[in-house]
Amino acid sequence: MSQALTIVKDLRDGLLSANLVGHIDAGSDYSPLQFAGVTQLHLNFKGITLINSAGIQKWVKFMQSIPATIAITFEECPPNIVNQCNLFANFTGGKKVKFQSFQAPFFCETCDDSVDILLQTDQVLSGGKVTIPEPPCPKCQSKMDFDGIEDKYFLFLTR
Amino acid sequence: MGITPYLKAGARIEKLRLYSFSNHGTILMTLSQHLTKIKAFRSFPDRIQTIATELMMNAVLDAPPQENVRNHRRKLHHRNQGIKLAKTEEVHVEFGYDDERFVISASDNHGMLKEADALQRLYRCSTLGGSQMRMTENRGAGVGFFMMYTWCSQLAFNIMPGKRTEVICILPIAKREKFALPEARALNFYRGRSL
Repeated sequence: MSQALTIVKDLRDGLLSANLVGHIDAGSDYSPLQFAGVTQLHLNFKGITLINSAGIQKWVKFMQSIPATIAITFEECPPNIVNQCNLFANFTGGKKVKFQSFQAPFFCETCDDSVDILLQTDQVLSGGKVTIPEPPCPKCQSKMDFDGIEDKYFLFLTR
Repeated sequence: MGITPYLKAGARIEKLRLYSFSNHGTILMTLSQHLTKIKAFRSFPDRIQTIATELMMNAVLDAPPQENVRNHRRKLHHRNQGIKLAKTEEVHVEFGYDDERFVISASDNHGMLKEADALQRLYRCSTLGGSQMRMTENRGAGVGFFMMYTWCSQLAFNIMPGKRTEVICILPIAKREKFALPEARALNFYRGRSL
């Protein structure tokens, strides 16, 4: 059941892109990510299926170890990562991080079901204010409602 | 002790044993099979799985009274190496649910939890909102406790000093998260007589 974290990376012209897949836990190994010659780091969290307290602590240490000269971007954060960003302001290790995109849960009254929708931060945040979209249901195209507590879920964007 | 009082009569309860930390995956798998049957908001299964993991980690890594044992286990855990538990140290995990709530517990055979420690961590969590918690401590930062506190409507600790600590987490089941957040949370400590 425990899925060790795997990191698929690509380095081009100073941009290090890394897809993180599996569990962020005590055994997670970030040593494949080396920063020589890196000016930008894009971390994609789409494949993260579980994160626990030991994983958070190790993650924070990793974030703190990233040189301050590197611009960091988080992409496609699933709700489990968004929740941790909201719970623990120090999740970014004190670094300024750009949240490019993230998933949010939406509910379709017609289908009586919920689905996670990928949102671009630009689409939600403008002038420091959050506007929640009403995306169409992937099944029936009806407008969907955000399925969470707005003040809590989008906190990480304005902190 | 046990989770029966927190559920409606007739609710099915699973009772499992953690005899090695490497079998916690089997427990999570059993849990996962049940979670697919529950109609709840999308984050609900993730939260239960995380809480189960935290409960088991606490019972195996943090509950033993000997510091050297805790440190040794933590090292093994960080290297993804198995931690075998003696028969007397097996952790008992229970979970069950009815149409209103999901209840999960883990009990260790040490009974070393101190209310003051737990309350101090809770105070730190609730007043600082997790923002300034000591995230880099090797143990006892309260990160797992904070997650449980945030997601549960009720947390109960049954402590038999020197004998057993049982941590019970109760979460409301709701189809939509906005209807699942408790208006008030309960935190209960029940302490038995010292041995």
